[in-house]
Amino acid sequence: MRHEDYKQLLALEAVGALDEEERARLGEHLPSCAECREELREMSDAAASLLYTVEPVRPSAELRAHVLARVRAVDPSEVFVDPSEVAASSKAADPSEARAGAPSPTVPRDLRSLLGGASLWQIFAWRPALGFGAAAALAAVVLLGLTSLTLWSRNRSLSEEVASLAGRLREAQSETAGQREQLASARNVEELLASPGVRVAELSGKTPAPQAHAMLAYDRATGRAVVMATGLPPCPEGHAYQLWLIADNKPLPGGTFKSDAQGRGHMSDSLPPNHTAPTFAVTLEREGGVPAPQGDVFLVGTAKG
Amino acid sequence: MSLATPQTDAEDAELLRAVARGDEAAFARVYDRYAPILLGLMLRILRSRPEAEDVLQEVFLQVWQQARSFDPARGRAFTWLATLARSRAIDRLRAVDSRERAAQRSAEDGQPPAAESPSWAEEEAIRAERAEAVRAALAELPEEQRQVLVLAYIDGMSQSEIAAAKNQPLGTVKTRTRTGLKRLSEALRSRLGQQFA
Repeated sequence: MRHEDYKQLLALEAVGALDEEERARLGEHLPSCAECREELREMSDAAASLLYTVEPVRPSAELRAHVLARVRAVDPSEVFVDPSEVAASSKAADPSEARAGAPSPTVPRDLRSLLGGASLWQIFAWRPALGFGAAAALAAVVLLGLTSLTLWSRNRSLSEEVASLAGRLREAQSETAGQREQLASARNVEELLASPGVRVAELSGKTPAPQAHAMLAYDRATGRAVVMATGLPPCPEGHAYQLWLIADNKPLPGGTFKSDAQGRGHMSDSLPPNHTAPTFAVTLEREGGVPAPQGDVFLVGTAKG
Repeated sequence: MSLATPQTDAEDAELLRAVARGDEAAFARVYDRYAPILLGLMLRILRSRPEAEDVLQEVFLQVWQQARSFDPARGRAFTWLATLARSRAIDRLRAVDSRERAAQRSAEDGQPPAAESPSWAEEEAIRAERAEAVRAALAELPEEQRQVLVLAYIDGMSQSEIAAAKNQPLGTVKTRTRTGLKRLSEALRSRLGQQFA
């Protein structure tokens, strides 16, 4: 077909009078012809103005309220796919409809219905150089694709939200766990200090850290102990401070702890019980602790009584 | 005749963009402005008030959800609406059994008068002005051209249906459609400027 032949089809397309075959041919031509597209736009605008020859009929206020209620129930971000599905979903979401008992739409679920008011304009604009049949099929695929895309991106944003909430939950849980630990240790200290057999030792800093200082409480009856140290240098990688109970010149190993950025260290421990006036020491050892002290002594002190 | 119509076009386009953003007030204005014309069209095509109202609802739901697909470069906002509404109405016409329609038709004479909606009067004035412009432009066309345009676009008849109904050759009907629409477009443009048609 020549350009002039296509031009003959434009007005007929504008008034919706082309058959499918003619529309397909025109659909192949339009993407490559700005002149025909412009003329089709003019013809379509003129054809639409014919609606003004129809006697307007005022819809009832009830219908207006109903339509407004229905759109309120529909998320505008949802891509339109099938009016009967939309009607069904908004129907479920709109209790006023049940009262009004509006007739349920009986829309054909064919391609034409799926495409709705899509004119050649809209269809060829999606993908030039395709016939109407192919373009319409493509348009349907595009619509489905858009729907999937919408669902996908929604799903993705929900997943991200869930992940972020899960992250915050983990943070909150770890914060809570930390606080619980602190609270438990504070209770331990309280209980320990309140127990009748408790002895307190003040530990002072030795050569590697003369400024270091620690308080230690030891329950002779149970062996429970709490140590709180300050002024300790940061632990080198792979090392930790280890507590020792020295009785009869024999060091008995206790637990290990690390100092924080402010040089503070804190530990609750279970030491061998029943030692009177023991000496306590803190050395720097391999992380995980050693059975006999090998590293430098940082703190030493003796419990009274 | 004032030149308010091109402004109405720009306003329509702006309203549709607002609807695309989910603006319910803009949607209500589009509804108040065009629901009466579209319901008139639905009734003309479907000849059943319940069905016409049902399709009208579908059309406006579609407007709500597809407003973003409106592109002013491809035509006026009203053209977009009209194409959508006409296509839905004709689809419904083909889907519904004609006997069912006839049964409904007899049952629905004497609709109660509709209540006023808030922006009714304002939109009525805009509509009336535009309708007057279109009537004047159509008056410049010979009667036979006017008829084929209305039968094709408003009544959804195919060219061969029109040819059969008017007892005219198919080629004549097609020529009248082309010539008539071109003249209508020119008449509207000379009345209302480039933006209208």
